[in-house]
Amino acid sequence: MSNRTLTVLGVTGSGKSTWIGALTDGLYRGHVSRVVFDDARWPEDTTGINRVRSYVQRGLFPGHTAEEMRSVIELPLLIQGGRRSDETFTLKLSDYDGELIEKLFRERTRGWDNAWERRARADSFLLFVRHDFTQALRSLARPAEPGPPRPDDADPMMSSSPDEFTPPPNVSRRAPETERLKPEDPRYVPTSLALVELLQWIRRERNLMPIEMSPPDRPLRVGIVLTAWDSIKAPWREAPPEDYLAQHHAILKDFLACNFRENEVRVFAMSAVGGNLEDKTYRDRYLEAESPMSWVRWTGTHGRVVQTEDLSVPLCWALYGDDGIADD
Amino acid sequence: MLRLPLRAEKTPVDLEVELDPPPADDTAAPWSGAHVRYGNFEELALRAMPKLVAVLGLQDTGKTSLLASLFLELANGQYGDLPYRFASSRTLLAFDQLALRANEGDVGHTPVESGSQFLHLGMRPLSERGLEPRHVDVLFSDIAGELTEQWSQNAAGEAAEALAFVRQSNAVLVLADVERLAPAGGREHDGKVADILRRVGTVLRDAPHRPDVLLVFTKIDRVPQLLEEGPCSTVPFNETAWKMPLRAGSIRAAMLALKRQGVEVGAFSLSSRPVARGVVGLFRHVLARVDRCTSLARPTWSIEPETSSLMTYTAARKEWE
Repeated sequence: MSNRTLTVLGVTGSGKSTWIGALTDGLYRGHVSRVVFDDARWPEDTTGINRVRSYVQRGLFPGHTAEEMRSVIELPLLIQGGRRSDETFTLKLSDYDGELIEKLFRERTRGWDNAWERRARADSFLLFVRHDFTQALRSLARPAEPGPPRPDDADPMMSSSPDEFTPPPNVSRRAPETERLKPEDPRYVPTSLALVELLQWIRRERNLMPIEMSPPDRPLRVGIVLTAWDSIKAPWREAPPEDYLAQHHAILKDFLACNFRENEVRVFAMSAVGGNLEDKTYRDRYLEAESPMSWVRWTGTHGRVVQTEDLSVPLCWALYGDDGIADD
Repeated sequence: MLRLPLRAEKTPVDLEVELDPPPADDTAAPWSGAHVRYGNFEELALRAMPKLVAVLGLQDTGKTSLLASLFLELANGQYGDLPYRFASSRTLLAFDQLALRANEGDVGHTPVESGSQFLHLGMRPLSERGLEPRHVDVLFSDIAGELTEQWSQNAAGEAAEALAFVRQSNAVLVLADVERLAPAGGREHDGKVADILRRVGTVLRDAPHRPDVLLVFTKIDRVPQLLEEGPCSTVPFNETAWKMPLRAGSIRAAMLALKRQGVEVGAFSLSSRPVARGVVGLFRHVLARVDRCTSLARPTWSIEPETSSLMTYTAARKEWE
C-alpha cells in the first residue's frame, strides 16, 4: 500500500474555490463520470461538503476566502471505470487565501513553515491560473514589426468586457501593456514568477537540483488548470491549452519544460460553471439546467484536443497520469 | 493521506489536498530571491562553475536596464534564435523588482553600498535534438557605476574589492552611452569608457584565462541615425568595419589595445527600453562564448575541495545548515 498526496496551488482569484464547489456539486448531481461518492463511507457530518457546494447551488461564485474561513472537507470517493475501477480514496480539501502565495514571494522571511515543507513533498500538484485575473509579467514595448502575437492585454482575442467580473479584493486586472505604472498604482507579483518561484522551492524541498528529474517510478506531476475559460474568445478557447500557456506565461512554460518530463506536465482549460454567474440571464440558465454546464479541455496523447464535462479530470490525471484520463 | 491499494485489494485511500497552511511560524523561504553576493556561489558551484559575466559601465549607461530588458525578453518568450531556455533563477525577486522599475520608466541607480552583487539565470541549451541535459548557471554583475569609475581610475582603491571578480569573469561587457557620445561634449564619456576598457586590459593581462570583452553601445534609440540602422554587431572587432559615427576615438584605441593584447573583442549596439532591440542578440553571443569555457582557474571565493561536484547535493546542504 502506498500513500499519495495532491497539493492545489493558485493565487487569489484563480478559481480554486469555484472548482471545489462545482466538483462537489457535480458529484452530488452525478455530473462527474470518472469518480463517484463512495456511499459505503458516507460521512456522518456533511456540513463542510454542503458549505462548499452551497455557492454554486445558489448560482453564486464563492467569495474571497479570508484566512479565518478555512475549513476542511472530506469527500469519500470511488474510481468509476477504466483500469482503476473501484479504487477508493478520500479527497480532503481545505480552502485558503490565495494571497499567501504572493505574500510568500514578496516577504520570504516568514511563511515557509512545516506545513509548506510537507505540502512540497506531495506526489502531484495542480496549479490554478485564471486567465483574466493573473498579474501579467510586464513586457517592454515591441518594435512595430511582424512577429508572434504579443503577450498580455494587447491580445485581441481576450474578453472585451472588463466589467464582466468583479475582482476579489487585492487582485488587479491585467493592465494593458502600454500603461505605465503610476506611483499610486498597487504592485502585484506577476503570477508566472510567483508560481515558478514556488515550484523552485518545492523542488528544493525534494532535493531536486535544477533540471534534475524525479525518479521514474515516482513521477512528479504538475497540472496547470486554466480557469474561467468560458470568458476567453473563440480562437484561444478552441486552441490547445498549452499554446495559451506558452504565449501568456512563457517563463512558467519554459521552467516546466526544463525541469519536468513531458508526461509529468499537463495543461487543462476549464470552466467550472460554464459561464458568468454574475450575469443574471446565464445564472438563471445555470440554475435551471439538468445537464452539466461545466467543461474541461486538454490535449490527449493522440495530439487532439479533448473536451469533457467531467470536472474530476485534472484530479484523475494528477493521481494516475494519462491512464486516469483515457480519452473519451 | 492517499494510500493506493494493490490491485488485489480494495481499501480506502485518502487523498489529501491542502491549499494553505495554518498561521505560519516565522520561517524563511529557502532563498531570498535577491541579488547573489560575490563569494556566496557555493550551491551554484556544486554542479559546475557558474559563468560570470561582468557588466561594467559608468553611472546611467544602462547596465541595469540591459539586465531588466534581457530578463523580460526571456520571461515573455521572446527568444528569437537564442538556443537556450529559462530553467531556473535564484534571483527572481530581484528580477521582478528590476522589471517593475523598468516599466515605471526608471530603473533607478544601483547604490554603491550594494557592492558586488549578481543576478542569476539558469539556462538549458536547446539543440535540434531538443533540450540538452545540461544546466548553465550565468551570473551577471549589477555594480554601481560609481564603483566601476573609481576602479578604472585606481585599481588599488576602495573599489578594488568590489571589482575583484572581473579577473574571474568569463565575459566582460563594457557599456557606452551613445547619447552621451553623440554631442560635442562626448569626449569626456569617450575617455571614461576607454579608461574602463584599459583597466580591464590590465586586469586580464595576468589572468589565468582571457574572457571576451564586448563593447556595448546602449540607447541607440536616442540617436536617430543609429535607430534607423538598428542594432548591429562587429565580432570580432574590426576597425575598418567600425560604423559608429560617434566621437569614440579613445574607445576605439582602447579596443585595439585589447586586441593587440590577445583579447577577443567585439562591439554591439542596442537599446533596452522602452523597446528592446538587439538585447537577445547580445545575450546569444555571450552565452555561446561563455558556455564553451571549460578551463577556469579555481575561483577566489572559498570552496572547500570536499564541496566539489563530486559531493551529493543533499550532503553538501547538510554541511551548510
